[in-house]
Amino acid sequence: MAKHYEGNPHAIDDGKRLFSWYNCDGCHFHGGGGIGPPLMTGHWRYGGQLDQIFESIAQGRPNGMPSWQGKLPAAQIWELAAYVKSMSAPTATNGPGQPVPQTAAPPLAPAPPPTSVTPATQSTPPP
Amino acid sequence: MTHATSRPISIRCARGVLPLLLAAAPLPALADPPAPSAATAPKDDGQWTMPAKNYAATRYSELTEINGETVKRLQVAFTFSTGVNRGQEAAPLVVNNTMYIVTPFPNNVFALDLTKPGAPMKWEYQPYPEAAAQGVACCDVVNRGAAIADGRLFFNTLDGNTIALDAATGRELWKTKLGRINLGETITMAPLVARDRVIVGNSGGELGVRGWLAGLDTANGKVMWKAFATGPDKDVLIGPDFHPFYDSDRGQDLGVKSWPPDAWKTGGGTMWGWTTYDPDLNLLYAGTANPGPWNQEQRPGDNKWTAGIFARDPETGAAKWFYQYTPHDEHDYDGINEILLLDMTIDGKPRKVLLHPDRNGYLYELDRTNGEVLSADPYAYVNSITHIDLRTGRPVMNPAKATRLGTVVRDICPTASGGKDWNPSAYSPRTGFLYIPHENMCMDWEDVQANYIAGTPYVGANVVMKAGPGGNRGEFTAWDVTNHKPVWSIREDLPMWSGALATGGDLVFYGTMDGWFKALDARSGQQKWAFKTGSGIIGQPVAYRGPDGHEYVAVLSGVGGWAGAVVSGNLDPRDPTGAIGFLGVTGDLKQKTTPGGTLYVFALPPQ
Ligand code: HEC
Repeated sequence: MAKHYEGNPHAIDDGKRLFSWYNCDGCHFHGGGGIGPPLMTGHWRYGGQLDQIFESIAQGRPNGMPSWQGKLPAAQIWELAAYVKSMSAPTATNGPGQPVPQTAAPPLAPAPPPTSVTPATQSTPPP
Repeated sequence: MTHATSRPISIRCARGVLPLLLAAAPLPALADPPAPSAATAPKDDGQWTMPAKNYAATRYSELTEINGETVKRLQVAFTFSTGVNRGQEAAPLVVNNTMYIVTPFPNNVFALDLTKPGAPMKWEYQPYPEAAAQGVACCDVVNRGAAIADGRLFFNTLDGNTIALDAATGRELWKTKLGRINLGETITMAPLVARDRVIVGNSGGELGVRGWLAGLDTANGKVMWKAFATGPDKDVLIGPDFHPFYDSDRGQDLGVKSWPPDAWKTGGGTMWGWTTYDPDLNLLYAGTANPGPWNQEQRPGDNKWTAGIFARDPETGAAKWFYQYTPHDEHDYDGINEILLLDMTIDGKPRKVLLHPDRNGYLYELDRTNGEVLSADPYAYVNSITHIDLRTGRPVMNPAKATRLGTVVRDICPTASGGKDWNPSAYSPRTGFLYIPHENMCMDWEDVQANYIAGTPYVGANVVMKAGPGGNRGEFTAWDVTNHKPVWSIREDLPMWSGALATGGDLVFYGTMDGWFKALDARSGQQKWAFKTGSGIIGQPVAYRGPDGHEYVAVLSGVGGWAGAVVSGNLDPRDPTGAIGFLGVTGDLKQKTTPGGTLYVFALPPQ
């Protein structure tokens, strides 16, 4: 699965739009972080492999990362993961020097945003 | 009534910052400076029982041992690690020779025995708040302190509980769940005790929560009333006793009608800041925060009752009057900053006044019996508002700085964090000056569409902050409240996020985000003493009389909060939009300080 999405420009592009459509940017901004940790540093709390990033998004993480599983189709979570991973890639579109705010994407046709999210349980052990 | 105002100015010299005296002529009258009433500021007993010191919220200690002569000998008496390296915004409290501290999340409470050398721990209480609460705290996982009355200590936890402890033993007396993190609610404010009520309000204005203030029974934690900041009158506790001063606040269910359909349900107006109480008038005062989302195009209307102040009956919560500092706020100008209660003579008449330096950059003087605006003067650099119309009470907005969907509006001053944010001023009845720790910052702002997903941010704005005119980001201004003028002002390079303390020794204290704790001459602004603590200071300094009869000054050091999130959250300032725009103006902070969490207590050396 991860292979299909990793570095795939279409997936990254879609992921970028989903990232603001689902309010990821409200907590992580354009990669610099806020409520949530920065995602553009290349350093990860829970691992930076695509499947680990997928897990972070799908399962949530105990210190305040909501769980999106069941709210979003898996394909969209992979696209989000691909975009998140791209933020710290050497050729990152959001990398150093160009983190200019973007106008939010128009709503994507497929899914309306969920009306709520689920906090991750505290039992998820940090790696 | 209007007053001419001028911008505070100051000069910088090679060896540091020197204040520039602005009032060249002596004060016109030699009348005593305004003072708080006896009920709001009883004679100082040397303790510090609530963060603001007293209901007048003067943060003024009458102690004089540490003064302009002696302060050069001030040194560390003891320190204590809170064990939490996040933003330390709390005021240490001192009651019965015991010091009490509340840490940021996980909100541990410590009692330190001041009668013994080194102030050893008397007890510790750990509330174990839900870890997920950290994900809905907009601006670091801070806590602004406790309140102590009748042997009970009251405090709030990030995950939305109010807890009462036996101050002597740390035993839990009661715990009441008030906030729901699944809706984005947290609690960061310091509670206030007014008569037999503990007053608590929620945080979460950046997550589409609906603001409320609650009155709990001090004895058992039962919620006696809950007043929302939006919605129908019955939810806001507006009834026959409600008499706002201005026409625009009169009418039925304005908390619904001044919003698009249903927008009030996610409209903010949280009450995360300072509340206070006048026992003579039996009125509780509480500000309301910004409307949500920040994108103003999603909520045409005045957005009652956000960005304003309520006077309420503390027993029942019933609203008595309301005044809206910023109707239809479009810059995140919350109305929750400190409220000081003074008795002043204005145009020959005695008035019961409240002073409030608002986020919108104006210092308001209101008649606290009825909510009439007596004056409003800019205390910081403001270009988003041209002036306050004293006939209607409304700010006159500068259309060039109005925010718009899909347009980057540049150089709006002040920033979303305000001319000043939550960090409270102090007032000395000896000088008649209000000591305002404030910002000098501006911002670029682009509105974007916000989607409501419960438990996630509901903001809809890309913000990038920057330094204001002159390049300094912070400022500490002594403001003559009688003559409505700045007297002196200190420029600080970094944003100003610490509170102020004034003392009978004619000193004022504050801290900087790179960790300096400073004492200035209260009249001239001359720096008299400074000490470099381990981390940036964003806390509230206090002064007390120790069991040995000597004066002590205490402050928590530990950078964080919205302004210091770059350090406490290890954020990446290459994205200037991060931390809702604060990363744009704190890119250098990681080179100047590191996270921390240490109490510092200072005293003169034993003779
Ligand atoms: C309500 C705030 C919030 C929202 C919304 C949010 N996050 Fe997070 N996120 C967090 C927090 C807090 C953490 C850190 C959790 C921890 O340390 O346990 C986190 C962690 C992560 C991590 C793990 C980072 C690491 O270092 O391992 C990833 C990846 C991530 N988020 C991606 C996303 C994506 C994609 C979205 C949108 C679908 C999103 N987040 C929405 C708050 C949020």
